[in-house]
Amino acid sequence: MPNAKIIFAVPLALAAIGCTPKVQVVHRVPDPIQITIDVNVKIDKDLDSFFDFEEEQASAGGTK
Amino acid sequence: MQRNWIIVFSMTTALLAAPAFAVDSLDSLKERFKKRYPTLVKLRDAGKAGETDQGFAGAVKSSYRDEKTGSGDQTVGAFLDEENSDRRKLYKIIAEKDGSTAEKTAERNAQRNFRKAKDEHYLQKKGTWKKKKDW
Repeated sequence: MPNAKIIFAVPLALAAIGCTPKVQVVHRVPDPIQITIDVNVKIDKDLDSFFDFEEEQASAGGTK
Repeated sequence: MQRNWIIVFSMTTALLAAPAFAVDSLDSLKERFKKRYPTLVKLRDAGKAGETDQGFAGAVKSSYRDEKTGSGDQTVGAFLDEENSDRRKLYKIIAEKDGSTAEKTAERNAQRNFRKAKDEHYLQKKGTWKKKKDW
């Protein structure tokens, strides 16, 4: 009967290994291109906000 | 001992007041840009002034600098110098705020101005003036 024990034990052991939770923390460092794009977006936004009067004056006076 | 406290107090007050001055200068800058804008548009439409790829306004021909703007007694040259001086200040403020450089901010504004320009407006790339439609 030892074969029967093995028959049960092996799948149980495999199932236990298969169910071991594996938590992996991946620390992603943003690449320089991403950072550059973010800064450009911020600059563009600030410039658009600062020069918002251009659109206002253009629509009011039809200059543009 | 008392003198040291006065120094510390003065420095703290100066540090706390600094952002207020920065905001104020941005507001006053904006007012000046706003006031000049109609004249700048007029000069662009007349083909006397245009935008450079370095983020500054320039006279399309150097002879235009001596002409009057048509708004007041100022020459085109003096008007553009004033505009560019304020742009330099603006680029510095935005660059410091966004963690960039004044040159990069100027470049972004050049792209913005190029995008917004009319087909008949002059744009300068690498020192050469051409109408937008011809680039």
